[in-house]
Amino acid sequence: MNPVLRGAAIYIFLLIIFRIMGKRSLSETTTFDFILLLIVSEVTQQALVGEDNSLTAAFVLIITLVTLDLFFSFLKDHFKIFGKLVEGTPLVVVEKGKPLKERMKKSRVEDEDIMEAARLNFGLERMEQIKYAVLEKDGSISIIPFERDGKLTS
Amino acid sequence: MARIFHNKANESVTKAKHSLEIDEDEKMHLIGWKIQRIGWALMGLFFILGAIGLFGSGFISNRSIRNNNIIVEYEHFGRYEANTKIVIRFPSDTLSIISIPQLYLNQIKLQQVLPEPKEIKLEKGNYIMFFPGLSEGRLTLYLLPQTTGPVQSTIYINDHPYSINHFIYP
Repeated sequence: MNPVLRGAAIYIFLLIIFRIMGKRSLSETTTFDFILLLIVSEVTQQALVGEDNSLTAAFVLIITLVTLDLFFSFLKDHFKIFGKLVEGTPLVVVEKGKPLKERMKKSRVEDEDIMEAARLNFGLERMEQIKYAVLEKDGSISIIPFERDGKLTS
Repeated sequence: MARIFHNKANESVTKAKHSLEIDEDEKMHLIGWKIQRIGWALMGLFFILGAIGLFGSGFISNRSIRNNNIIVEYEHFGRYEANTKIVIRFPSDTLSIISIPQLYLNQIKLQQVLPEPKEIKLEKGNYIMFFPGLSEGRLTLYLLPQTTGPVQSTIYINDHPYSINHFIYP
């Protein structure tokens, strides 16, 4: 198969698969997710290269993937809806100390995931200390703690 | 009272009130979650269909043709440049000649024949193999698809036709 078509097909397929899997699967927070990404990268390499170990095929594939990446970046910059479709948008999952359960359930975020981010970044102990928690586009969780004495808690 | 955001299908999610400068787009999230669940169902279906052989190597892919005490077994579904085989079972000392069209072999490469034929010749666009006194009762043709899509052909075993149909995935 033509390496350009092969590379493009795999790139787009992976884009769709990871979008369907959900943001949390991208963030490598669990052993399962880490193993999955490891194996997927190996399988992808086999599918991209096949039996063709030539330098030319490697160059063509690399250029194909980089070109596609640039093209999608261009589309994202010029068509906001495209960016939202492909990468999603942030989502508030904790509001003023209260977890928004429905949103968390649909996004597959657990209380423990939020508390882990809170402990790691700010050393927080309880959900009530979190002003907002946002599930970012890349699957990570950012924490905005309540201010204390005019300063952010650390 | 918490404000609930509805989409056209009347699914809802609580709207968060916050001072953050982020483009949350609840509508996009609702659509995305719905698409996600459809995607999960489709992936589950592919998983099951793949396991049972829709993409080769499974029972729904297996085909068997019986004619004159000779049984030809092969896989209907194959994958591009993924090994497959045709297995021919026969009563001892009854198989003597196999003829395969060259057109078929242009699409599906014959890698190996076990046991090996005593003689091979090309005649009128056919690859003909001779097996005098073959007692093993089983002969295997190891194949490697070189094309994608439907591949149909008729092979002749002892001058009896056996129709072979493949579908090769890219």
